[in-house]
Amino acid sequence: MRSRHDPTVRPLPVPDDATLIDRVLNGQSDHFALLVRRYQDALYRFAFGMVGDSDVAADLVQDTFVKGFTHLGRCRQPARFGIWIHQILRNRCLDYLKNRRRRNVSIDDHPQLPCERAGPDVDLDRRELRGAIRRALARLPEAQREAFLLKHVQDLSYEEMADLTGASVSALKMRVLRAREALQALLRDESARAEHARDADLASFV
Amino acid sequence: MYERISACLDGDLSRADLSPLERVELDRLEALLDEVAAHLRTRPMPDLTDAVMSRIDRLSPRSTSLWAWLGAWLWTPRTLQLRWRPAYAVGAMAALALLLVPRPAEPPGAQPAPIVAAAPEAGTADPADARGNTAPVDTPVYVQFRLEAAGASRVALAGNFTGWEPRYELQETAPGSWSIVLPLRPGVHDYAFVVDGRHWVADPYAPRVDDGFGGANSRIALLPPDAGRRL
Repeated sequence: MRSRHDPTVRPLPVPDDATLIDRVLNGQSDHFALLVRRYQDALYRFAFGMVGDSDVAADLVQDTFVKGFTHLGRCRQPARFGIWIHQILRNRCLDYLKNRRRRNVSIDDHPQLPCERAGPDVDLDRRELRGAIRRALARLPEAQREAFLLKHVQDLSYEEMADLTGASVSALKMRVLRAREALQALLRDESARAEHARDADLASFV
Repeated sequence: MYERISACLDGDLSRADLSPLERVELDRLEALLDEVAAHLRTRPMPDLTDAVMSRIDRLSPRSTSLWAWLGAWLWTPRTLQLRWRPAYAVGAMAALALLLVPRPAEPPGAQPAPIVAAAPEAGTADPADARGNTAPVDTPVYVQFRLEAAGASRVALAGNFTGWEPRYELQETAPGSWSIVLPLRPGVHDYAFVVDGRHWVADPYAPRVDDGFGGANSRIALLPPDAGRRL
């Protein structure tokens, strides 16, 4: 009997997206779980970057997968399922942000996330930096934030980004440039503010 | 300077083309971008697989028979949350009152609703032409939908008038030629053909609209049957 460490035993090839979609459409809906596992981290990262709230991001990603499942027959290029499901999530995020704007909820109204709360094991500077990054991202205009996340967090090429958003490559390059510029300026402001607050604290002790 | 640094980050300019000062700025910007990306990449990621699959299982009646699923669906108690605005109730009552007003009887010899092709010639079905009509607009118009799909074993029609369910099966009237005639209300309808249960195909002879999933649907605008007589 061959053991699992037998070098002649090769792992089964991982089915590609098109194969999995074909199986799901032929009634093996449990194979959709493999697609969820394959794409959930990337989708969650994008959703969190867009909405700045971990619970909302998880809900949006869940809804996206369910919608993707119910409309799987409309995925005309199964080999490009990743871009297709990303498009669905993008639309859901933009709808969510539009509704949030209508309700006039600011990003700062969201509770602080557990990993950003003060704790003895958390380095203060790192915690400050995380909070500053989160606030700076939230203050970017939506189009710039989206372009920045797709480029620098999702590592998509400009051509893939154009496919996903419908914007031209040159427009996307400009959005990414503006986003980098704005992030740098926002983080510089945050840093100056933190420095000022520290000086004020120090002065109160003197 | 910032444009040049950004061009270098995008691979449009080489690092060697930058001045020493620009390179320092580039290093600083790269470090910042790494930090921002790491902030999102190193977050604890929830595993949503079980939650998604259980929602899908609830959606899909495939594991059980249709009758058992229908019985369970009808019998399962559900919580209904209702939020309403009184203004809508007033509007709904007004609409209901309009519906209940008796309509004049159809004159003798009234012509039956015409059959029109699904992809009418440009300009024949502009809904703006029907402005000012006072007759009821819910008289159906019979529309013929046709698709050439050689090799297909099944062709169905889905649209906003079916809740996007491929509810109507087309008949193969000639080899590779599929057709159906349906009564539709006047107005604008979006639709698509579903070939062999999985390929969504737009009507090649009708105007197309974005379907929100990276593809296209077809659009048809139908005038009330007697719009021409009332112009």
